[in-house]
Amino acid sequence: MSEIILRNVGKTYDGHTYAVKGVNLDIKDKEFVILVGPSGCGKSTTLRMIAGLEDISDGEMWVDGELNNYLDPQQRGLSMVFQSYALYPNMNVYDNLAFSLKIRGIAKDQIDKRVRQVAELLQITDFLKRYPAALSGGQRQRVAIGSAIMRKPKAFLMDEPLSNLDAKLRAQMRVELQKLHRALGTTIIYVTHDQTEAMTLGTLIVVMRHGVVQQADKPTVVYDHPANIFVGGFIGQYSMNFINATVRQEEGRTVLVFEKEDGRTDRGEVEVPGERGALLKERYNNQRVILGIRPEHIYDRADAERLGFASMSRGISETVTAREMLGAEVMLYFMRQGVKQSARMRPDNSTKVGESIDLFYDPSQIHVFDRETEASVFAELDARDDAAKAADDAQKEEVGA
Amino acid sequence: MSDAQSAAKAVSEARADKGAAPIKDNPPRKSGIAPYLYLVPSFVIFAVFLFYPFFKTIWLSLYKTNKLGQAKIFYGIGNYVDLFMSDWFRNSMVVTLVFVVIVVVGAMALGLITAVLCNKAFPGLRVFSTAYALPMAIASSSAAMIFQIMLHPSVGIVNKLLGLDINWLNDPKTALWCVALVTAWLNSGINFLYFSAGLGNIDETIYERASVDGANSWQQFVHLTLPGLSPIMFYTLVVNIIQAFQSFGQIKILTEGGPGEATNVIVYAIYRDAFFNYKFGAASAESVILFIIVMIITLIMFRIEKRGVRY
Repeated sequence: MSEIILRNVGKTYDGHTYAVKGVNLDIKDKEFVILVGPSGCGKSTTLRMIAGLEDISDGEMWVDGELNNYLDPQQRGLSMVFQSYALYPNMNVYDNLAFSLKIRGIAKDQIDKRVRQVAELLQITDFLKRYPAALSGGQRQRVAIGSAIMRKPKAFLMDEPLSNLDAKLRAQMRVELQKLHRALGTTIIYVTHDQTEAMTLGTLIVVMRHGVVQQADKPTVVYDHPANIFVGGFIGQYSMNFINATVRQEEGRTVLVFEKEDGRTDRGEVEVPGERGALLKERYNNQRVILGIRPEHIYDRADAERLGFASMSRGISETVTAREMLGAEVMLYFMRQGVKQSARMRPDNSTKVGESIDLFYDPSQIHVFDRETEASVFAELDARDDAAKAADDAQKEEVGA
Repeated sequence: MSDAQSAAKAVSEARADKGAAPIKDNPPRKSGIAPYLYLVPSFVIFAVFLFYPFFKTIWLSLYKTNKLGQAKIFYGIGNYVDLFMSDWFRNSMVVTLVFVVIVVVGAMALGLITAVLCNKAFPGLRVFSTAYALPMAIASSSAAMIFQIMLHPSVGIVNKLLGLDINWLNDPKTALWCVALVTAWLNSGINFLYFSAGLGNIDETIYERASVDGANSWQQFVHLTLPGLSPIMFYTLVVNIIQAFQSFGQIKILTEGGPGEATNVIVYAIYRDAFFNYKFGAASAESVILFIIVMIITLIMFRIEKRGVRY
């Protein structure tokens, strides 16, 4: 059982500029937490503060009800995998694995048993006698993870452990890490800048930017209901499209009208139905906002008609500037308001570069952000829906059990 | 097609069969006198200052000489036999060995401790670093003069501070220790530099991992720092041993080989035999013996090193 709580944790090196600021996290036992964000966003610093490798300048860190701020790394009972793996170059794989137990004075036969067990689990038995210099990147990474799981720590901390691997190996290791998490049943706090890793591994995603937590929630929530423009743009294999628009009332409907562009006569507009439309009408009528839509929520006419919203969202004509055939889907790129936008189409879509296509935005999947705060306008409604869904899931689980 | 060409073709085909790259026709390398000309200046310097004295010494060690150092009577290995039969030379070898051990252990320990202390950032780091590296820049003779005053039995600061009344440099029990420790301090400066460089090469993150793994500072030092320094440790050791064998200035000034024969290391014995006793033949033989001792130790160490350093 290990519960890690961060309260207003901050890090400053010079006393006034903050590398990390006001981080609040409640990490429950067995959770797979991902700290994700672009480089320099403070995610590694946060992890190092949890590990005790950096002093905590502000706030408190509690582990199982014990204040950890002033404990040395040795006393915190955590284990860590470093980005550079940090294998001891003067020890062979066996000794690297055994190190943390050896310095605790644990009996040799017990260490040996555990080393073999871990080596078996990570399939590194064949090169226990080798030195780190003679290992490949993937093998080193396994040894680093192996060394971390030798003990039964309160939590594993992992600092971009997959970033030095090639794409194929990385995908393979992602699966292995998930298995490992299930097998060990220990909390993992994992730092990455790769949103794919975050989405595939995490049970709790913490998106950070400029040292501040932007959103901390389940992967599906972070993806479906990004708290602000940054999260929307950062999470997702293809970035969300953002378009400047104005909220208008047309014949009793709330519509988002795209802002004028030089050299274009078509305006483009999307209806926002239901309570979301009502909310926009109430708070943002005739005001400028930012519309966000993911590429997979843009359809061509046939699909829009099939899905029944062709009449709600007037076809917006776009000229394709680039096309990417990905096998199961095809990505179309076009310019809107001077920014590259993308739409995911079925693979049989045959629109060529230079041709134009009418695109339809799924009204139920529209995100609207405030221009000033960049925060999601629908945050409250989303939170209510997410809570209802979570309760529903919990109930289902109970029935299932 | 000439025979040579067909032979070359056959070879390249054979290589291609094995999957090796076929031989390329490299343009013929121009070899001439030019490369050797570049070597001439350094070779001349080596010849005049190294090879000639070296072989001359070996040659001289087989003769008895006159006071001008000219070989007069061929004596064969007589000089060597005389030396090994004499009590003073055997004593000199023992003194040298003890001296070298104290100097090397002292200088290495001092260099290592100071380097480890200065490996972390703290206010005043530069002052300390400079202080620890300084012995490197001090001439051994001037340092010896200062120590001569410090170790003076009546006015020396050492006796004053410790409240003792010891004639450090004139007591056979303490004299060797004094010159050896002064030498160790003198040699520690360069060791400080070597070890600082060595410590700089150790990846910082392995210490971070070790501290998360639960290793305390001492365990980190034993399991990470010392093995991490082992490659540079070896070269430092070799250099230190050779340097210790060749110490001269501080002995000349502090004790002149005395009291009695207590600090008469081989180098000082060579000096005394050659320039006081005018026994150049014997002095040459001593030089050759010293050379052989240093060479054997160095060879042994390189042999051990190949087995010792693993990464």
